[in-house]
Amino acid sequence: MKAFRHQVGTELTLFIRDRSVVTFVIVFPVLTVLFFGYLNQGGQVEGISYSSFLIAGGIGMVISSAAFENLGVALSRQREEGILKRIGATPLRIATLLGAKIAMATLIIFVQAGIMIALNMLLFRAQISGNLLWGFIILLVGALVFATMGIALTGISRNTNVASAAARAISFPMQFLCGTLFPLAAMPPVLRGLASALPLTYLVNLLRGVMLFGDSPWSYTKEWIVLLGCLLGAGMIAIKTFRWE
Amino acid sequence: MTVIHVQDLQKHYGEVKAVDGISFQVHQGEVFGFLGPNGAGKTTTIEILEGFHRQDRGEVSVLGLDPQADRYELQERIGIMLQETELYQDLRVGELLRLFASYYRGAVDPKTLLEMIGLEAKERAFIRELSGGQRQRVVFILTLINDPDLLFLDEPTAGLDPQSRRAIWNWIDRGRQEGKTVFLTTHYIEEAERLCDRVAIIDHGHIIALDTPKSLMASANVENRIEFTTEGSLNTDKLQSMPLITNVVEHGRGAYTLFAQEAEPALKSLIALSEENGFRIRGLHVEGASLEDVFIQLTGRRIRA
Repeated sequence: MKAFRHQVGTELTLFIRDRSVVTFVIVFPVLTVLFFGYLNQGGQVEGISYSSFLIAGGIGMVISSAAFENLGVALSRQREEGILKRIGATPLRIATLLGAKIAMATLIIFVQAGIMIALNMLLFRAQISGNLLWGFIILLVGALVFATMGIALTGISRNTNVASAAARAISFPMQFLCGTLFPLAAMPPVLRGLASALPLTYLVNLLRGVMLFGDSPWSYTKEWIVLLGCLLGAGMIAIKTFRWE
Repeated sequence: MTVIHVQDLQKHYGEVKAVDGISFQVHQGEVFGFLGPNGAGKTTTIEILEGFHRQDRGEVSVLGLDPQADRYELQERIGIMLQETELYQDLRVGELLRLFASYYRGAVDPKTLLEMIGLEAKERAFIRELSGGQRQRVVFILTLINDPDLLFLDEPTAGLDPQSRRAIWNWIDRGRQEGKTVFLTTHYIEEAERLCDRVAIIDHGHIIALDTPKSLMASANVENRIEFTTEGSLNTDKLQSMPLITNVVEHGRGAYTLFAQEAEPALKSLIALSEENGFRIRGLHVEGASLEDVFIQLTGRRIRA
């Protein structure tokens, strides 16, 4: 526990000291809301205002970005630089190290989600008509699932260049296709098919349904199964492929 | 007591036999060195002992533990200095030490360690602001943060300035005095001779000799060189006729090199001769056999070719 606390503290310190990352983490959700919110001002999607629709989609986007680009690529870089190897020469458990990194990624996701929600509500009068507590729980589960996938991606990538390219290749289409910015129903069948193969689609569906449409979380069985399946699969890959150097 | 036990260790990388069937033991309280050129198998061996890699064949036991199966328990009790260490550049020195201290069940106060290496004033400096020598000192004290029984030092002074190198040698000496066992690798002859109680000379994945530096040098059967100058010329026949002297070379006027199997009796007879004949010896310099000579004799090559 002592090691976990120190490691989380260190991750936070390192994050705060890296101005470019801090800037990106804040600017990304702000720009997304301003740009798409302004473009679709007053629009209605699936029976709710576009700005409300964008809350769930935008949270999906930041989760994907934080998990793959911030966590996955950064971990790969630390491995390549040799920082991980020095940690491997101590009794720190792999699970503690990765747990601290997931905690940090989750914190970043919460900050970004907070910005997303606040701006949409303040500027474009978005409304959260569903269950906020469940929204919070789903956000937490989503952060955990995707952070684990980000770590698994690092494990199967040979080096930082590969990890970075793979992160972009996975994260980029997910950020646009998974019902994040546009409703799935409005997309051509080919893209819809592609979206149904991407896990972020299910998280955004679940989040939107529960937080904005006011549905019961238990009416989304398929979404829960996909997300937990991804967590299990990614968790196993992450453990099996983890290496210090 | 045996601290490290290695029996018929083998490790291959594809077709390359990095370590090809080596056996040795390290006893409690000794400084044991692996001396050899780059690529001889030193790092592969030390990293198997540290638990980073699994051997292909052979038995390995460190502090009675299996480095693979008991990895975390082993890490609690050993200190590791990797050949190259990268640290979090954006942490302060004190933060880094406290972070590493948190990884262990028990840890030394980071301040004590900083005082030992004379960097207590740098506690709030960022790692990226340290000079190369200061950085390597910090890397060194990280190995001591859990007060380990056993230290693994992989090329601890490679690329360092002479002052930092001597400082690290002194701290290794201090560790030995405190009863710690040290396993180190090096390709510096002087380091092995100065620090090690026993040295294994390793080449192409084999241990080709293992003994105390003194015995290794004695067994190499290399002659000592005694160099001196005098004010006037001497009769080289007289020098040559001294007991135990095998050869005499005169370099210009009054400068001589004597070759002898053993330095001490040859020096005694040289001094006796000087008193008898009334000449004064100036600039006396005795150079014994070195581990480099041993390596050359065994392999026909220099360690750093």
